[in-house]
Amino acid sequence: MERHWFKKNDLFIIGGILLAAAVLYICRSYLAGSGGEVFGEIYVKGRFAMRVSLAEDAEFSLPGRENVGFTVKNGAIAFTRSDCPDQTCVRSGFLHQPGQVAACLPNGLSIKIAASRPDLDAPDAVTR
Amino acid sequence: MGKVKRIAFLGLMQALILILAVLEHMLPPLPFMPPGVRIGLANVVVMYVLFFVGGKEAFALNIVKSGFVFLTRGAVAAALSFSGGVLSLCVLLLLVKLAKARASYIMLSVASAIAHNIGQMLVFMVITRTPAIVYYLPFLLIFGVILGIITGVILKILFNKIRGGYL
Repeated sequence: MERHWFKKNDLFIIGGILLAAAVLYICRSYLAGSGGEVFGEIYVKGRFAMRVSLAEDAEFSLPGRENVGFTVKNGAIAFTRSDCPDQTCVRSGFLHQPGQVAACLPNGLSIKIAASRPDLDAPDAVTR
Repeated sequence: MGKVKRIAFLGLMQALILILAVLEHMLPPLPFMPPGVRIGLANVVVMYVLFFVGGKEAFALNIVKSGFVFLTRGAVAAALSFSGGVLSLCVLLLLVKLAKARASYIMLSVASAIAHNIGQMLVFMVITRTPAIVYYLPFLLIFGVILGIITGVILKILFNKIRGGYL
């Protein structure tokens, strides 16, 4: 039997993959939380380094890591300067949706958008 | 194919892979795609070698490519290239073995692209220790499908033009 270029079954498989992507996307939006306060978190080699408010525009670097610059603008945060060769972090642009991640692999820095979860943090019931 | 011809052919293919990898890196990022997403033109050649010469040879070419990336773009880029390349070839070989000819070229190409993306994501997770990168999994699947179809179509055009002509 010779290998086909394309088969009708492929459409179902591709449909299944896209469906899985859609389901993951929906789960992700739920898990990332919404409604609460949104803020940025900066990690150095995966370890939490600082929390950044997105309410005020700012430009800053981590102390001792001036080779990478961050910018907060209009409720979003981005890598705006880096000495790394690939510049993927800078091209990732501004992040604002909870769950979004950008990273500078050569420098081991990453930004994550996080949100507080009023729906989970609040008590389920109050007893008197 | 004779031994000498085989060596010459694989050398040519290796050169082609390295040139395509460099060229693709020089292109501007694809419109409407997140940064770092590339078509994977070099993968077309790797798949060609896989189907016409063999799995071992395809692995060897891929590993040399990662070594080349290490020399030109550093350890992080090389780790990403290596993990994506090895995982995508493993998935390809497994599918060719298990599904035999039932898996179409387009399907193999899509599976290889998705495996490549997932391999890179795993290295990304290890380097940044950021499991949150799973956030991008839905996009990696979607781009795997789109780019896999594109490389599959390029492979088909290639096959039609040079089928067996150089072997």
